[in-house]
Amino acid sequence: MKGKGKMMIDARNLTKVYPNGMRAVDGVSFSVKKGVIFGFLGPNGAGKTTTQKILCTLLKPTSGEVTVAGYDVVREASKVREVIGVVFQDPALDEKLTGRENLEYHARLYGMDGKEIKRRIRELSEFFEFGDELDRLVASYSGGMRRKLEIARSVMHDPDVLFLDEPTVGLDAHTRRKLWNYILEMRKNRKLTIFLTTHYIEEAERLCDEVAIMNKGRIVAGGTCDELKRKFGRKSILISFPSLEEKEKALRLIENISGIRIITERDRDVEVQHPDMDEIVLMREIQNTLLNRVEVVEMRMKFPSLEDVYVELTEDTDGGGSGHSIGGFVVRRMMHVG
Amino acid sequence: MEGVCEGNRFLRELQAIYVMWMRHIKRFARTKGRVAGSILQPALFLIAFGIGIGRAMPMNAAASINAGKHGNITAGITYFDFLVCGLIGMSVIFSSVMAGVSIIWDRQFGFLKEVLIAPVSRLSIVFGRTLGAVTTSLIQAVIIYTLALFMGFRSSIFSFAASIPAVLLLSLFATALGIFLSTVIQDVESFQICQTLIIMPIVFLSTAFIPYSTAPVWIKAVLRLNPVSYGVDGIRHLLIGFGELSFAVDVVTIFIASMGMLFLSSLRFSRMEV
Repeated sequence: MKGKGKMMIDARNLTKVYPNGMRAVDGVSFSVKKGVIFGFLGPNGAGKTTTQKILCTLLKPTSGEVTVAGYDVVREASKVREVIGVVFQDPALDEKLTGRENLEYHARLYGMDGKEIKRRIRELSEFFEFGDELDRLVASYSGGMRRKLEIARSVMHDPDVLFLDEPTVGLDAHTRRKLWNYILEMRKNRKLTIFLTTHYIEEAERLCDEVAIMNKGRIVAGGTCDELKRKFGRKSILISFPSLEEKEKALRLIENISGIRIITERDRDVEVQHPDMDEIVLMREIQNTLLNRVEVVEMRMKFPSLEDVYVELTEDTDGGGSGHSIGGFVVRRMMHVG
Repeated sequence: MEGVCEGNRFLRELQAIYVMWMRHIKRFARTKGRVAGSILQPALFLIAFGIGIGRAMPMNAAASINAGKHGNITAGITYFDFLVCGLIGMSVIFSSVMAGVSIIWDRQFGFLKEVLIAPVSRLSIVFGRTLGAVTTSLIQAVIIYTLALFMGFRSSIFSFAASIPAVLLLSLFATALGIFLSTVIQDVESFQICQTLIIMPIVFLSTAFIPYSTAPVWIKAVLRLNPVSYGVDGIRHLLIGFGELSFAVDVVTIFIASMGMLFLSSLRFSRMEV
């Protein structure tokens, strides 16, 4: 690998304006370290796929600098192509060929020789548990099998960076979990850097070391899942009562704290938040209010899920509206993840 | 595959050509309808045009005179003989254009992306695909030729062998045209329009079906402008020893046309984004 730090992907002020004038990607900067699974999160139409297409040399950026494994994606496109593997959002298999042929032809395009190809297919076939399916035409494959084959194909030539665009979209829960395991397993075996595009938060949380959230062509937040939750999510306080009567009693008292918001009220539990009060302070306030009046089983701080953060940050995707963004947070500066 | 060395590079390009070629052949062989169609369609044309119309009219006087001027066979060229050469040309053009244009289907079904991100020259991709198309077109030409022999086409295996280079050039031109079209039109629907506006005219307004010598002046001008005319005339020269244009001009024109088209389509294809 060439120098330029240890960043396997480095994008600076990446912008893509389509001929019809649509600004799909608007001055995005981020970088991904070697060996990291990097999640690119965002709603449909946020510009994720466009960004990924630029990273894997399928589209030329309108402006900005992008390197993958140290190579410039425009000037050194063929170098980039040698070291990346890509699984596209839409299937890209040849249905009139068998699974094995798809793998073999791919490997040949990457300059592998016959012996190497056989060995690698055997290896991957074992890893992905293809069994004898490989010799059937792809047209007869199930959705899960197709995806597995595509992922296998993308790593046939042992790439340094793997791009996965919505790899589990449209798959059932079992197959999805299996694919996740494969992805985690693949990374374990070698120093593979994975760039994963998804709109499933769960997927990002399960797989990714770091994430960037994209909305309307811009990156609105980035960091590890925990960092994001800590930074953008509003914590809430969960209180459990021994009985419904106690809860009702408590509710009447709590409502007197001005500005307090009751988020959920389920069974014998109540979850509350306060927009302008630190959680610790709020907790003490509630404690003081309820002390010696109501019996409380448990009171604890609840951390937001990544989904809460995601929804908060990507709201208002259809444009217009009141622009509910947390603290008007917009990242235009360089965002060094990690 | 970290750091594929330069020596490997050439090998990789060759493998890319092989892969694109092999893929085309396999797809052709596995699409049962296509194999059947490639036999049935020319058979139908041979029966309808060849036997139906061809037998009904002998070659007219002007053409016969021309035959005497240029060809080895001085007499007895029938319209059927004339037509068989035209049908070989037509069939080669249809199958080649289709093979080239099938890139649109690859785009529709996603496979194109897999090819476009491969670390090989797009020229190799175009070249491999063209070779595939030329191969299957040649197979079709052999089929028609054989069928025609059974129906009374007078030619020899040697003349057929001699005509192969001309068939190849014509196929090259048509494949390149197909690839070019696939870079211009964006979807399968607009292919229909291309078929009516471009592919049909270049076949039917060529010497494949219209004898040049007896055509009115303005049609002659159209025939002269159409590269296919030279390709088919070249095939005719080699296959039945009868042609209406100069053989040298035929060869040079179809050669230049196919190279030009190949250049143009490669250029467009290498700049293609998905």
